[in-house]
Amino acid sequence: MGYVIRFGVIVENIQELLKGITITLELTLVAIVLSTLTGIIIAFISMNGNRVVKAIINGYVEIMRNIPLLVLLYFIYFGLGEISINFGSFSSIILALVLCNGAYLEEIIRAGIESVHKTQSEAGLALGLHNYQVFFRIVMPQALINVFPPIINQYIIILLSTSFASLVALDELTSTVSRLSAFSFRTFEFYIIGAVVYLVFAVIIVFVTNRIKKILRHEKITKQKEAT
Amino acid sequence: MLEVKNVDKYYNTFHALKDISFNVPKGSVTVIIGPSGAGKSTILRCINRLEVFNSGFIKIGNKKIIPGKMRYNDLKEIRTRVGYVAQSYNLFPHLIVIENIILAPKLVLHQKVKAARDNAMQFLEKVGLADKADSKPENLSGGEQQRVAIARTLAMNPEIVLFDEVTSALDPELISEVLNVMTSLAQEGMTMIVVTHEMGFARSVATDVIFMEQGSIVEKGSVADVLVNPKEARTIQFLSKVL
Repeated sequence: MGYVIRFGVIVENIQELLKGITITLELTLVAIVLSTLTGIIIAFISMNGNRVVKAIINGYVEIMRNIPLLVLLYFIYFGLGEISINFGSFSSIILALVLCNGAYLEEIIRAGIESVHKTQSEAGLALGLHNYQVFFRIVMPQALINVFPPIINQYIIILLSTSFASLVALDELTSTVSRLSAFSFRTFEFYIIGAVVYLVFAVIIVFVTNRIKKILRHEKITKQKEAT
Repeated sequence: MLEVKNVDKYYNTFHALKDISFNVPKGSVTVIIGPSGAGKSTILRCINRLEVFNSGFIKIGNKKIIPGKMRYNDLKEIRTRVGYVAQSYNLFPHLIVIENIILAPKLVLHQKVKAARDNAMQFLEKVGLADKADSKPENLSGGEQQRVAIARTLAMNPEIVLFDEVTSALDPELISEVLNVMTSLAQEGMTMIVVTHEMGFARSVATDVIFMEQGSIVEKGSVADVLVNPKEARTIQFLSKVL
């Protein structure tokens, strides 16, 4: 028991840590936005497509659901590199995250769409709206509200999965923390700081997405009404 | 203004509509009555093409609905001319009342928000709910929701409005507030087709009555012909139970 905890070492390396945190943040935001768009668009195509299109999308979802993210990442970064399709570290991890989480989000969003009663689409069609207007203006907002908790979950998984980027030579938070701890031998301090940063970001994601949900549900309007 | 001609519809092997033909003149109120499963709702849903039928045609002014695929632009014109109010109101729960009403005028008729809003407020006043413009649908009673649904349909300036058992899901004491709106609409000369079990409404407001059973029209004519002096035995039997 000769280990004395000294958090001073964190302050000394704060610049490097902030750099790592910034990259993790960038990865998370880009991956969340692209995965969500992928999920919504694939869900739209799947709901409106013919049997062949549906089969292709089901196949894609099934493949993504049944291979580890790390294998997918290695395949994109190393495997495709062998046949001269080169992605950088950043693009590789984004592509892996979006392919994988886009499939999960598609499944979640599709469940949400199925929870919206068919009469809602009919009401839209009866008013003369186009199929895509019915989908994006009437069905989609309700679907998202209905499946918000699993979507938030998936966003947190995306945040945490960005740590895989450390395995393809991207100096994000996990990689930075592990490198600094190896140099300084302050393993305890650096890993606990890393963990706390992930935790804080996860809480922020929950907070922000809950705000969005409230806006979608017009909860502000009701509150104002109650206040007056 | 509306002509339904020899319309047949099958659900797989089930013959849901059998050779349905009738005319709806401008300004008339046609009430369709009959037992459950008679095809009353199905024929309404064919008129704005929520359902596709198998043969025959439906003409609204110069626009024709035919079996099979149709282009969106034609559908849009038909559905703009033909308003449809459903039994389950189907307000959009994620939108407040005023947004429910202006959504289609904005997206389909390309009205400016301000104009659409003013127009919507007029119709809300007409159905007596101007003070609920900023409410969420879930905070309204069934009768209020149905009146908003009527305002939403009227905001598209339809030439004819289809009412599909619009009072069937309502508490008895809320029925009259919806029927009153429909009655005043009829008095203003709106062309309407109404599927209903409200015989009082049929007798006081209808100009024409159609009695349907098992996918066929059993009897049609004026209120006096069908409701007061029915000729068909089946009509007499049905009316003796509901009147």
